This record gives sequence, structure tokens and C-alpha cells, in this order.
Amino acid sequence: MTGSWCVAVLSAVLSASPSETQTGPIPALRDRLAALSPDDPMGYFLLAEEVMHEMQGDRGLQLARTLFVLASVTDRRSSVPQGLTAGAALALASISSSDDERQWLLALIEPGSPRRPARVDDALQEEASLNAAEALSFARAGDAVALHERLRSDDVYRTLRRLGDEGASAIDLLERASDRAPCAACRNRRIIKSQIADTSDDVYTLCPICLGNPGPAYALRQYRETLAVEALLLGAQGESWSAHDWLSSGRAALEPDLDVLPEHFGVDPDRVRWNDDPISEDPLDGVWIR
Amino acid sequence: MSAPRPIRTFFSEVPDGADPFELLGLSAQPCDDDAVRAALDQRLARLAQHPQAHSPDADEVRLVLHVACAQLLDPLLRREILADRAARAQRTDASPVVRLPTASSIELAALHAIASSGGWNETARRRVAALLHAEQIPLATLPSIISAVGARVARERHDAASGARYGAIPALDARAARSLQQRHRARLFTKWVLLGAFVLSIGSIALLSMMLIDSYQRSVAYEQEGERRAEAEQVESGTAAMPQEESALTPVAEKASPAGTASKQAGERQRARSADGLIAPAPTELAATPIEIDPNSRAWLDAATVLLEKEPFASQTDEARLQRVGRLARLNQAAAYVWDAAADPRDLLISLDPAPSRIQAAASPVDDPATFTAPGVPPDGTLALELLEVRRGKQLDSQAFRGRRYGHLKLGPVDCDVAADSALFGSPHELRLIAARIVLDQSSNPAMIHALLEALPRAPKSDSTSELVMRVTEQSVPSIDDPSWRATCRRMLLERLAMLLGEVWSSELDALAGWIAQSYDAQARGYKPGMSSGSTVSTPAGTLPEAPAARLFDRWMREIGGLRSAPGDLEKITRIRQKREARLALARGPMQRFAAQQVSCAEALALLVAIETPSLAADVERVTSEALAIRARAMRVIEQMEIAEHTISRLWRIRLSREPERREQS
Repeated sequence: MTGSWCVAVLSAVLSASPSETQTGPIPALRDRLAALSPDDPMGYFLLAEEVMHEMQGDRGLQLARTLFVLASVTDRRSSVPQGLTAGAALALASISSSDDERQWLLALIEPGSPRRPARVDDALQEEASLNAAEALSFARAGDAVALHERLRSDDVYRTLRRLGDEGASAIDLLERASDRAPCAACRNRRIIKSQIADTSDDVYTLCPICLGNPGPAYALRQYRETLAVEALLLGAQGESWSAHDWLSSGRAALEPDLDVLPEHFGVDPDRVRWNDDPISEDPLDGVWIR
Repeated sequence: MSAPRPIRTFFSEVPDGADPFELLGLSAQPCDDDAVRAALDQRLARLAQHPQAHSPDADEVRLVLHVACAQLLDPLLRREILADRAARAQRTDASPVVRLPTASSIELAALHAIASSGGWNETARRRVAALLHAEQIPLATLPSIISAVGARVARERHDAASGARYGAIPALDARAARSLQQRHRARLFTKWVLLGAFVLSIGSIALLSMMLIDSYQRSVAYEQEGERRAEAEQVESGTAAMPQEESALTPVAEKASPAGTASKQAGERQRARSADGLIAPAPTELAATPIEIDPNSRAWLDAATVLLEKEPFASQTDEARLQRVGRLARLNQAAAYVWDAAADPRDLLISLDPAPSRIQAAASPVDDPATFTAPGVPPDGTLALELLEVRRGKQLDSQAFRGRRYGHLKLGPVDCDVAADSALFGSPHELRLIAARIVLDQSSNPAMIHALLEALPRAPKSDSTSELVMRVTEQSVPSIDDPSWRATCRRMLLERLAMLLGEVWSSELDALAGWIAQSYDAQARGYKPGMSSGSTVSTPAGTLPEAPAARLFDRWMREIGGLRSAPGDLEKITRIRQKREARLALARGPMQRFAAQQVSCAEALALLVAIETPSLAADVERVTSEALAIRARAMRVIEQMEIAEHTISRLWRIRLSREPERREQS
């Protein structure tokens, strides 16, 4: 039963990724949301699939995630589970923007042989990861010209978004670094040239503004964060605990436990009924209630 | 609340401190072997009809009954037990005196158990423990009883060679030696020599002798005390006997002097150290504690109470959390030793002192990563200016550069930045070589590795770049034709930088890792006498606890495999193994991998305790599921470690106390 669901959902997911789907409203979405009941977990699942394929944007994705999680929760609580959890986890993995999260979701349903999901664009992804790591390096060095060059492609930001919170803070850091002007005195050359009076000889001195280091001054915490993001991008781990601490910022691995699923996606497993806002025109205006 | 005595659960008529006759329901009269065997069969049949006939307690009682039967089948011992019983009854009539264990009968029964178990092994340990339990003798006396057994065997061996019986007991005074001679002479040739030879033949003497060395004084004091009491009773006809209440509070070893006094002092010293964070079940306390839980376990439970209930969980730094993980791991090591029946209480002296704290004093300002991106601070920049002048066309004074050495000082971030730049793409070529040498001289300087990392994206894809990265990181670099060359070089430099920064700024993590590794290794290996000497020696910093934790997991799984499993256990075992694999696949880096192994150890231990004692399974399940649910939501790996280690300690508390955990304790 579970296996057939996995196959069905996987094929549905593979046949149409969100970026390829048509856009457009879902008929009677408001009514269908209101009709959802924990007695019918399949209702959550089917609507989640439809939302995932038909609705674009963050709100649509968020609703799809919530519905998949609720499908899993209600099915597991059901007296006759239909094995929807595996399908829900696969679907959630297909719309996940994080490699770690995707691997974790697969481990939830296949704990015996967790594996990194195979990707056809692994080589491209590695190149994009390296570009993102080097972009961070340019940001630290205050080399805005080289940083702009790296940021021309969307790859860097897209790659960083896959890292979740760490990626988001790195994007913020890159945006600020790309707006930063070079050192006013030395133009990031570290030294300045001047002529000795009454002679034609040039003399070099360290830049009086940046004192030879034109990069932005990062606090220790910021510096560690950039190293941790680079480590994530490049797969650096460190051999010792101390080295690993510098490269991971003490982050915990996700636990392969289905009970964590709702909390991970910010879903309250007890709020399973949709209460829409009758005044709003937007069918997504509403809250989940007990 | 202590657990009910198993024997009373099944045979309520059996009194406390029952002798083998009472255990088998025989009247205290001479009887033959058939009567003894018939009594045993009758008891076993009655036990089989009990609702708890398949419980571990029932197994324990069966063992006790078999041991009692074995004792009574020995005619010599049977007579001795009858004599002891008569003497006891006489003493009870005359005056209330403390009942000392009849050492010889216990020792004989212990030897029977050891011999019938094939030597001193896990089975023998359990049987002897059950025997002591049935006799209501504190488990802490196990070491001295085993030592006494070993001592006799060893003495016999020695005497057989030298022809001078008892000549090898230097600490014994003449009177005690005479008493011992009188007491044992009659049966030494017939029983101990034969059985001793048997024990020798199965290779147990080595272990027994090791135990003998440590507890020799105590066993001698024990013997002396028994003789003195017998003599005093004879002389004073009970008028000088100590009141029972007072005696019960006075440790046996304390009463014996001079060894008892020394033991008492040692006990006081150990108690004093206990306040400083040492688990110290003092021998004097062990011998006196009138509880069913053995005193080592009780001492552990007291120590555990402090760590599990008095220390706060919340609002702690990572460092404080990790220190606690280390202390809990030590506590769990002690629990494992207690469980493995550590023979010598000194082996349970396991330091709970925190590992070395953060070593910031060793860090110099140039090691501070915050300076890597900050404006330079003179004299930092002096070398940078010289190198940049040459790159701008100034004549290179190669002699002057070559005459300098930079290995003895740490260059600042500005000098490192320019040196790394110059080494990778400086011009002229000779400047590149000079700069490369400076880089190599500074390969232990985090600022230099940072500088290389920042310069690498602009570095040419060349063999010279490869060589520089390879020599700095001391790792092999893929060929420059390899598509992963850039990424690999960058990753290697990043790991090198993290290693150097970690050594300076987070060295306490490595010290704690070694500390925890040691505890897990000790638990995985199991207790062996004398192990404590190694347990206080710190392992080298950087030793990872991941592998020992994996071995400990295997140990628990082996022990689970050795138990009679119930329906559903196999499924649980499979699930634990699968989750472990999943966790390891998701883990990145040594800390996360250890956390994965550690929580799997907790799950395996929980299953082991639940299978061992089905009556505690629900409580074990509650403790484990509640704690691990919290762990699953933890965002930081050190928090995960703390929760898992804390859970393991709680499981040990249940296992050793054989009681459900009180709700408020969690």
C-alpha cells in the first residue's frame, strides 16, 4: 500500500515540477479547504497535490506544505492509516529548497537506506556552490568588483536559498557587500603612491584609511557564519570537534522522526480544520483551528 | 522505596535471612540427599504455579533454591549449617547480637556457584549476587567473599608448593592465624584443594588473585573479626555483646582493627572527595548499608541525583552544556561499572571534575578572526608594503628577504594577505618564490590560511598553486585537470583554517571529546578489575568519541541478543538500527555523528532495560520517548548531546534501582 503510494506520488512529482505547472485558481478552493476533515486524510493530500501544481508563489507552496503535513498527521492518527505519510514526505521533498531537508524527508520514509537524492545537475550544483563560496570570500575581502561579477548569475542566490536560514543571512551579507564602495584612499590597493617633494621619486605608504586591509570589518560571529556557510556549500566538516564547531556553528542534524515533521514545517498538528475569513476575497485568508 | 524481596514474593513463609533449610522448607534436622532433592523439586513446582513464574525475579529465586540445594547436598556443609543454626538460636536466646554472615558457608556456596558456572564470569557473578541477595548480605561484600575464595585457593596453591600452610599470610597475627588454622584445617585438604584445582584448571585464579591483592586487608579483617567475636562470646557469655541497634549501624569493617580503622579513614577520605565531585562508595558504608539495593548502586544513585536533578538544563552556554555531557558520561561509566559488579570500590572513583576550560590565554591578537577583516594595526603591514613596492617595480633585494625567517613570529592579517597574494600571482617570479616561503613559514597562522582562502579565487590554475595548497594543508590535491580542483583546494584550506582556529579558540571541545570518548570506551569494554587507573588519565585531545559510542551500541545490542526476547522486540531492534543508520546518513561532521551514535546508544539501553525487567518497560518507554522527543526538536548539537546523555543516566537510574522513576525526578 505504502509502496504503491510512493510510486504514484513520485511519478506525479517527477512528471510535473512546480516550475513547469500551469498557473491558475483552484476551483472552489475556499469550500474545499473548509470541507477538510481529519476523518478524511486523503482530502488533505489530494488538495495539497493540486495546490502544489496549480498555485505559484510562496503562499501556494506554504499551503501545499501545510496540507501535506496535515495529511500525514491525520493519516497517522487514523484508525485505518492509508500510508499517506510516505507520499507526503516525497511530495514535500520535491518542493524543498534545501538539500539537507530533502535528504531528511527521504530518511523519514526510508530509514533503512537513507541517501542523498540523485540529481541530474550535480556538477552544475557543485559549480554554483563554489561560486557562492567564492562570492562570500570576495565579500569578506571587500572586493565589490569581483563580487558583482559573481552575482551576475542567479546561481549564487539560488544556491544560498537552498541552505535555509544560514543561506538567508549570507544573502543579506552579500547584498550589503555588493553595495560597499572601495576604500576612498587606495581603491583597495592597500598602499598609496606619493611623490617626494622636489624630486620625481615615488614613494609608497600603507593606505592611511584602511591601513592595508580594505575589507569590511566583520564581528567574530559574522565571520564564523560565513565560514559555516562556505562549509555547507563545499561539504567541509573538520576532523576534530573544535574544527567542526567552527564549520557548523553548532547546528544539530535533523532527527529522522516523523513526530518532528509538523514542527519543522511550522504546522500545529492539532489545528486541522480551516476557518476562512468570510470578509476577505482571498481564499487563502484564514486560519487553521482545532 | 525498595523493590520487594523476590523470595518473599513467591514463598511468603520464608523468613528474612533464611538459611538453606528454610529456603527449601526443610526442618533443621539431619536429612539425606534425597530429601533435599525432593524439597527442591517441591519448591520449584510451587514456583512454577506462581503468576510471576516467568519473571526475572522468579529466575533469581530458582537460582537461590538451586544454590541452597547444592549447599545441603554437601554433608560437611550441611552439618556446619545445622551447627551454625543451633549456635544462632542459642545466641538469640541469650542476648541480641549482630548477625555476622557465616563467611565459610557463603564462601563455599560462592565457590560452588563459580565452579558450576565455569569460572568467574557473568553467570557466576549473577549467581553469587543472587546468593548474597537471598542471604540478605550486602552485595558490597561480594569482593571480600570472592577475595576470600581466591585467597584460599591461592594459599592452597602456595602451600602445596612450600609445605607451609598459612605461612603466606604475613598480615595475620598469630592468634588469628591459629584460629583460621583450627577453623579450616579439617576441610582444606578435602574440599578447597580439589575445588581450587578445578578453579585453577579453568583459568580463574588469575582474576581472583587480582581481586585478592586489592581486598586482602579487608578479607583478613573480616576473618579476624569473626574469630574475635566468637572468642568474646565464649568468654563473656554474651554480657558484653553489643546491642543490636547500635551494631547494625556500625560497619563491619570499622569494627575490625587495624585494617578496619584504615578502611574507615579511607571511607571518610572518599566521602570528602565525594563532595568535590567524585563518586565514592566508601567500603565502610558499603558494608553497613541495610538496604536491598547494593551499596555501590546506592552510592551511584545518590551521585546521580545531584547531577540529574540539581543542575539546571536551561539558559546554559554551549560550553556549560558540554561540560555537563562530560560529567554525565562519567556518571554513566560509573553506572556501567556498578552494573558490571566492579569488585573494588576504588574502581568506582571516577572523576567528575570538569575538563580544562577554554584556553584563551594562548591566543594572540593575530589569531582573532575579527582582525582578519579589520583595518591593519601597525606594525602589521610592514612586510606587505615591502612586497607591494616590489610588485610596483621597486628593485627586489632578494638577499635581504632570504636572510629573514618568519617561522618564529605570527604575521598580521595585512602582511599575510599580501604575502599570499604575492605567492599565488606575484611578479617577478623570484618574489613569488620568496612569498611562497613566507606562506609556508606561516602555515600554522590562521591569518595566513585566511589570506590564502581569500586569494584562491583569483589564483591561476597551476601546479605551483596546487603545491602551495598541498604543503600548507598537508593533504593531497587533485590534478588541476580535475573538475573538482578549485572546490577541493578551497575546502581543504577551509578545513585547515577551522582546525587552526579551533585549536586556539575551541580547544576545550577537543578536551571534552577525549573525555567523553574515554567514558564511552570504558563502557563499551565493560568493567575489568583495575580499570580505574586508566580512567582518570585523560585521552589525547582530539580523540573522537564516535567510534567508542558505536562499540557501546554494539555491546547493548549483543546483550539484547542474549536475552529472551518477547514478540515485538525484533521489530524494535530493527527500528533502532534503521534510525541509527538514518541519523548517521544525515549527520555532518564528528559532533553530529557522535550525537547520532549517542542517541542510538540511549535507545538500545532503553530496550535492554525494558527486556531485562518487563515490569519497568512502560517507565523506560516514557522516559525515553519524552526525552528524545525534546531532543528531536533541539537546534544545537550540544543540546542534543546533553539531552541524550541525561536520558542515558535516567535509564541507568531505573536499571540500578529497579524502580520506576518518580515523576518529579524527570
